Amino acid sequence: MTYLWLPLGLALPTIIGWSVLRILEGKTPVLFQAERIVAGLCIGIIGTMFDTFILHIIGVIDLSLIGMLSVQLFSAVLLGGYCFFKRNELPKSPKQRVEKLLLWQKILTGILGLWIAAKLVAGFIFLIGPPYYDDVMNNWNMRGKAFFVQQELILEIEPGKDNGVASYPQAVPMMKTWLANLNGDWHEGLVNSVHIVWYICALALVFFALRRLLSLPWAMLGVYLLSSIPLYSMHGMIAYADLYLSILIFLSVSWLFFAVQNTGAVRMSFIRIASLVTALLVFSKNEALLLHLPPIVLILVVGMFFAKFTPSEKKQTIAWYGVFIMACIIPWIAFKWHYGLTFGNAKSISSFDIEWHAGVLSAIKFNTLLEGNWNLLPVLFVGLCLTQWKRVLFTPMNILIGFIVIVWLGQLPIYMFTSLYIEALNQTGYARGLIHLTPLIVMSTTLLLHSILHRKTDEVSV
Amino acid sequence: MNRLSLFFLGLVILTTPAVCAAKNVTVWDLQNQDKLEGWNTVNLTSVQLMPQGLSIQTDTAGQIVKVSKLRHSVDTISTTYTSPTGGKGIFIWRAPGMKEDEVYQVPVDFVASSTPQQLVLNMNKVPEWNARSDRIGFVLMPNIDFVLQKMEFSGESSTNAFVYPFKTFFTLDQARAYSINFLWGPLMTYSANQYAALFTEFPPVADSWNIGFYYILGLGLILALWRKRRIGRKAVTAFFVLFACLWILYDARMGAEIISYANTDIKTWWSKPYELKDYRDRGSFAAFSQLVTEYTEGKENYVFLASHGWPFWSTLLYTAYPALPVTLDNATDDIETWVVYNRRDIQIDESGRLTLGGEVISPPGDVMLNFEPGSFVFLTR
Repeated sequence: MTYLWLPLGLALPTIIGWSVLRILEGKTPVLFQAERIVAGLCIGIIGTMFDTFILHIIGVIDLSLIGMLSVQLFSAVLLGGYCFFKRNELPKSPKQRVEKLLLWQKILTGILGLWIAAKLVAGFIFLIGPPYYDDVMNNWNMRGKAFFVQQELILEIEPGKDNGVASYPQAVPMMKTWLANLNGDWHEGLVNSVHIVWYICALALVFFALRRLLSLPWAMLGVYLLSSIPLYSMHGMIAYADLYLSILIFLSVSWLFFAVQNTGAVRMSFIRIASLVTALLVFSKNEALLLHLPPIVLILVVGMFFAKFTPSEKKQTIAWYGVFIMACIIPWIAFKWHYGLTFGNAKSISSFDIEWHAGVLSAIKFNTLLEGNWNLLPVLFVGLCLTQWKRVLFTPMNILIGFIVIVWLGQLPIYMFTSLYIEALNQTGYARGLIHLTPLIVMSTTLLLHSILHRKTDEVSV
Repeated sequence: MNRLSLFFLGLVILTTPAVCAAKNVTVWDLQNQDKLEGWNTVNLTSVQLMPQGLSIQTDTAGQIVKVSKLRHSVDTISTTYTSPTGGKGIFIWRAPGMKEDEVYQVPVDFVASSTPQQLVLNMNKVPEWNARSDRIGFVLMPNIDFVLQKMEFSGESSTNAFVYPFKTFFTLDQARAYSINFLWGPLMTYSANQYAALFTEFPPVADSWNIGFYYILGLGLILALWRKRRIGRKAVTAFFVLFACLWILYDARMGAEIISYANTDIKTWWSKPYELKDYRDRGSFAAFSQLVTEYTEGKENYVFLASHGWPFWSTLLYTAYPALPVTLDNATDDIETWVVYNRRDIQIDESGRLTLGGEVISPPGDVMLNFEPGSFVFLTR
């Protein structure tokens, strides 16, 4: 019975997220109906929690059931009501082409589908057990439980002791607080179960993104590839926030990619929804503000010139991104400054000394190529990028791969030259950076594979 | 017979002697050598290469080590030497992962004799031994006159080296604290000893199967490029079919590991009553921490004494929150609840007080939860 609170707890954020996306798409819907629901769930959670956070720190609500519910009910009624009353004016969502699978494709889909389902069931069982992983009980769940118990946002779990996690954004812990409020008690399985939902969302969103460009079998191939990345699966069954961040990054960058790839009203629809999710990134994990937001802004600027945005499109793009990012970043940074919270990941970035650390590259090579974390993805991805270099450089694929390369390679100096080197040597930090990029890498890999192997009679090439 | 069949036949003929060899042996022979390659000496009074071997004299303790690249298991090391003086020494090696200035060591005696002697070390009995050590050699004590003729490293048969990598491929790790950051993945061992020790020490003494996959893919790519002129795109497709097969095999291996994590949780946690529950590598603590909450509920603080800090402290801090743990270093006078885990050194004296090393640490009270020896909840009266 306890687990029934999960769908109920996700319903309101999903309605809010769905409505916001639909309103932003306006007269030119670009997302599939099902895709908007899944993306709405992911965006609705962080958006709702951000609103709750703002209203809480200015003293309007507490973090009780009534406080959190009132924010969500108000938003859902307002936004959902707007969409409901405007439903006749808003055009229908695009539909996926109906395709029939060949017999061997159906059999393979059945076998791999069962295999993925078996892993999901195993993942759920693994996820709902007692606390085991450090950051679950030091950070994500601990803070969620503290907010639930105290009914307010607190920065120190043990008074007078700063364990460094207060500087992390609150979206994920607050989602757990919300579920616990619904249940009326802290239930480990219930508050963790949202993580497997996020994992399923990641698979679905990769499917929809690929489906926009490729045939059904190719989109399913992308889903299979993502489901078979072992460490990514682990993050679906452990209550950390990295997989959730990977979804938000995926939405932000892939929607920017679709904006660059398209023109006119479709482009601007993608720009509007991409700008929203980009702004919300800063409330997911600290890395997003420092490692992901700057490269996104960079590729946005490059993309606008590369894709020959019209002056009007450029102005609108800058306005949408500017307004949304400022709306999220200003309160968040003001909050951090006010309470003297660090901007690094539990460590202040200002305290880093620059010096060379031997062994980091070797540890990174080991993690990337010689462990069981990534299946054979790094070799496949890099190999395809090299063999398809013209496509990588001179088509909108450069948005996806440019971002991946900037973030991937951009992390290396941080580990090689700063005190964070220990995170690479102990393998506690580097792999997380790749987890954030995994859905994008899988999408790019599938597109590049398709461009090598597809028959010309298939669908439109990227 | 087509070209492919000839290729496989040749492969079988070429590999049969290696597969059937009884032992893998590597010899570092210093007799009749022109120059000393790969050896480093420190603090030796005299080092001279002679037809009989490497002649060494010491006035103070010194060492001689070789940069090692052994690529097979080694269970026996035979050192052939002559030493008119005899003396004491230390056999040293630097295992993978050790720092530059760290070595493992085993003391040895060199017998005084003018004829060649053999020092035989059975490394099976030395758990720290690792054939993949990158430095191997001796420390020689002062006043030794010594001629090192050769060192012979022998290990199990090549058949094992052929069988065990495949056997180890399907050997699964358990869920551990590091599994959020990395998974070892499929590994290769080459002997029964290595296989038995897999996942009992970290990093595991094994090679990654990924290297094998990369070789197969490299070979497949070369073949595809070679055949591309004749059969065109089919060669490219064939390469990606090979890639897909390896990918699925990899997924099957890693997916099985992930499913096995859940299976273990069901067997050791979900299907057991509290008194028999074990959770991953935390043993009974997870069950204990859940039972404890009944006694910490509504309390501001409780005293927590455990055999070690991590991960017990953070687990109980989270599980029993908002009650907060304190240690004996804090003031404990007003605290009623004492949670003790895995501390058999904490006893209850005749007056009902907790004692540690004979010293009283609590007011009188009663054991409310007797979980297992050394683990209990104590409430002061």
